[in-house]
Amino acid sequence: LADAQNQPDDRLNVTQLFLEHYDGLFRYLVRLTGDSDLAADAAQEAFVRLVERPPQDRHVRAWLFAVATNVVRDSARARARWLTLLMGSPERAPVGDLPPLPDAELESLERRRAVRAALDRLSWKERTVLLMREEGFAHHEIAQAVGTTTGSVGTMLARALNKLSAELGATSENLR
Amino acid sequence: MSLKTGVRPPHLAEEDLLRWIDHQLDLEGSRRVRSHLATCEGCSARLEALRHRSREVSGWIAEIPVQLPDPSRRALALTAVERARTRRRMMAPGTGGALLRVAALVVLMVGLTLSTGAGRSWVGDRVQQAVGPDPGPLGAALLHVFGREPARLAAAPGGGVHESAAPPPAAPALAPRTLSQARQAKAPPRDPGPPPVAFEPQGPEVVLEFDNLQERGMAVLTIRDVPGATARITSGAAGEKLVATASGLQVRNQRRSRAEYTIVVPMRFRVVRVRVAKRQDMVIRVRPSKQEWLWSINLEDTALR
Repeated sequence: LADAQNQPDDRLNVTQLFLEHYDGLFRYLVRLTGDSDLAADAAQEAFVRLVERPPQDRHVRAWLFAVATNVVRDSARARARWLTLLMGSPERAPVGDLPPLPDAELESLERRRAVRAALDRLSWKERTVLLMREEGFAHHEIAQAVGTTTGSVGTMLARALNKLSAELGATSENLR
Repeated sequence: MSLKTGVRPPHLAEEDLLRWIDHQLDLEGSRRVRSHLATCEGCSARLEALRHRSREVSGWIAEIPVQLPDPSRRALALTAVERARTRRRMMAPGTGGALLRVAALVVLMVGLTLSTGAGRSWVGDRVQQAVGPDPGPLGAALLHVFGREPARLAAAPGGGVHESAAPPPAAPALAPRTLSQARQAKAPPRDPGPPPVAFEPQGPEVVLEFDNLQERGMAVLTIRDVPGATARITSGAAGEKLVATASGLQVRNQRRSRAEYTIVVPMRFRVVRVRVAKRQDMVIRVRPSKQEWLWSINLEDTALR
C-alpha cells in the first residue's frame, strides 16, 4: 500500500486495513505469545482501538502492532497473576491428556517446542523486537513500539539473535 | 610520494553490522561501515557469521506453525470493528452524535423532573401554557398525561373573561390513534424489495461476487440447512441486480448503491468465497458447527462519503 493510505485520517478505511493487516498481525501475535486465542483477541482489540482512537502521526501498521503488543503484554501480566494463583491451588488447573502423536509429527513438534521455548526465554522486549523485525519493520518503528531508542533496538536484536542461535543451534544438532 | 600515518578505526560493533544487514544505516553510517569492511577481514567474517545466524533464526521462527484464525473468528473481529465504527460515528461531533448526546441529556433531565410530584406539576403548568386554550389532539394528550384539562378561559370580546363555549377537545385517547392514522396516511406502503433470487453453483464452492464497494450497505450471509441458495435485496434497492452464475451469485451493484442484501447458502457446500470489487477473497469454510452463523459483509467504501 502507498504510504498515503497508511496515514491515518478521518477517512481511514478500517475495513480495508483490517483485510490487509489482520492476518499478518495475528501471525506475529501467535509467534509472540504461543496462544492463538490471545492473539485473536489482541488483534481484534487493536483494530477496535484503531477506530476509537486513531493514531495521529504514525504509520497505521506499526501502530497496530505496537498496540496489539501492549494488549498481549497486559494480558500476559494478568495471566501471570492467574498462574500464580493456580500454583497455590492446583485443583483449579484444567485437566486432560494430549492424544498420542506419530513419530514424525512428534519430532517436528519437538523442534517447534524448542523454538517456542527458546523464544519464551528471551526477555519480552527481545522477543518483540526480534519478531517485529521478522515482520519487516524498520528499527525506528520497532523502537517506537517497544518504547526505546533506535540504537537500543540494534543492540537488543543482536543479543536476541545470538541467544537463539546458541540455544537452537545445539538443539537442531541433537534433533538431526 | 608521501606517506600518511593514521589510526586504524575500531572494529565495528555487532549492532552496526546488524543495521548494515537490515539496511538501517544512514548515508554516513553506510559509508563508514562499507569502508571498514573493505579493509577489515575480521569484521567481514563477523558480518557473514551474523548474516548466517540471522537467516537461521528466521528459518526457525518461520517453522512455528500459525494457523490463521477461523473465518468465523475473523468475521466476529470484523463485526466488532464495524460496531466500534458505528459507535464512533454516532458520537462524533458535528454529526447526529451531538444531537444524540443532547437528546440523552434532555431525556435524563425530563426523567428526573417527572420523578417528583413538584416536577410533574411544574411541567404540567408549562405544557398548559404552551398548548393554550385550543390544544388540539396532541396537546390534549399531553395535558392528560400531566392530569390537566385544557384551559377553557378565553379572552371575551368585551375584555372580560368567560368560559369558552367551544366543545372540549377530542378525548386524549383519540390522539395516538389520530397520529397513527396520520402516519399511516403519509407513509408509503412498505416496499418488499425485489423478489429473492435462487442460485445453484456447480461444485462444492460458492462464489459471492460484488461488483463494487458501495457508498453504504452490508450483506448478511447465513449458512443454514436449507435446500437451495437464495439472495435478496432487503432494502435500499436502486437498480442493483442479483444474477445467478455457474459459480454462485453476482451482485451487480454500483459505487453509489446503498442497498442491503441477505444471502442464504445451504450447508452442503464446502466453501463460500466472498469477493468484493476484485479485492482479496474472504474464504469461509463451511462446517456443521457453523450452521446458523451470520457473516456480515461490509460493503461500505468510506472514501465515497
